[in-house]
Amino acid sequence: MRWLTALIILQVFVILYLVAKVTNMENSIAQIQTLISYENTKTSSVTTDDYEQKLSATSMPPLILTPDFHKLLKNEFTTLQKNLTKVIIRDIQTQNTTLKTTSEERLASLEEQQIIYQQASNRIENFISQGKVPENEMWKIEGELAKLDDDGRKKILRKLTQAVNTGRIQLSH
Amino acid sequence: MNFFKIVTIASVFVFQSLAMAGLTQPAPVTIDLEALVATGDMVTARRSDNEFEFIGCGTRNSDTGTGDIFSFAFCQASVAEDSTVICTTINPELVAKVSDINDSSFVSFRWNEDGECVSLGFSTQSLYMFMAKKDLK
Repeated sequence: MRWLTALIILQVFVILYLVAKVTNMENSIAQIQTLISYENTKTSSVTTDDYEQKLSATSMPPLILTPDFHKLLKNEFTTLQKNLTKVIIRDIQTQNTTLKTTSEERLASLEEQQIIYQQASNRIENFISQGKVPENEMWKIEGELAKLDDDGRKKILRKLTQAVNTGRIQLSH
Repeated sequence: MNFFKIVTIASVFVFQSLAMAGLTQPAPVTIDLEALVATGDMVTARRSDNEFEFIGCGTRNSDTGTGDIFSFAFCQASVAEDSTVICTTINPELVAKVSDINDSSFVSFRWNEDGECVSLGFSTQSLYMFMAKKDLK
């Protein structure tokens, strides 16, 4: 997004610069035209003072949108549009790459969780076969629970509580 | 005259004794496997003649390895060797409530078919501290 903002600001500055430049050129043209017309009305010599007076008496000519200026603006906007499209496409591609990476990481994490879940599940089966939960084993299952997601935690705890509540495991701590 | 003095003094001692006794309401551990509820106060359970009677709750807290702490709470109760019931919860709000428990708390907990604690109750009142004067000697 920073790239996009910077590019837009840059393009706006370029456009403003060009507008100012064209305006300046048009002013110059207008001044020349004024001068020419002034020259045409004068038959004798003209002084600089006369020209200055004439010029000051003439109001600032309005911005003339010549076909060239239109063309220039159109080109600028086309360039801006192209650049924006490129930035947007690049941004979308970057986002897709990030999403893909996150998704792959999550998949890896899920695989790991499945292994941990299986370990914890087997541990409970072992408790059931022993009829009790040794304290050192309880620490292990707690560590496994910590690494699981909430769904896995609930399943393991459910298995444990049901084993205790049905009398298959004696729990003392 | 002496008779009245003796009666008065005796009355004072009797009523004073009663006032110091306070209200007691021991609550032995009960487990209802149909309603999935267990109740009982800690003092009564601890002082029970039944060596298997107990009730209480606790928490287990483990580092997940990613900077977080995983906590779960459990409550359990028993009235016989093979009658222990337990419920567990990973609901952070219920886990936090376990810290409300006290030595003289009346504890009640309810669980669902999955063994998840769905309700935890702790009531800490003097009436559960039923130590008789003879026990304090």
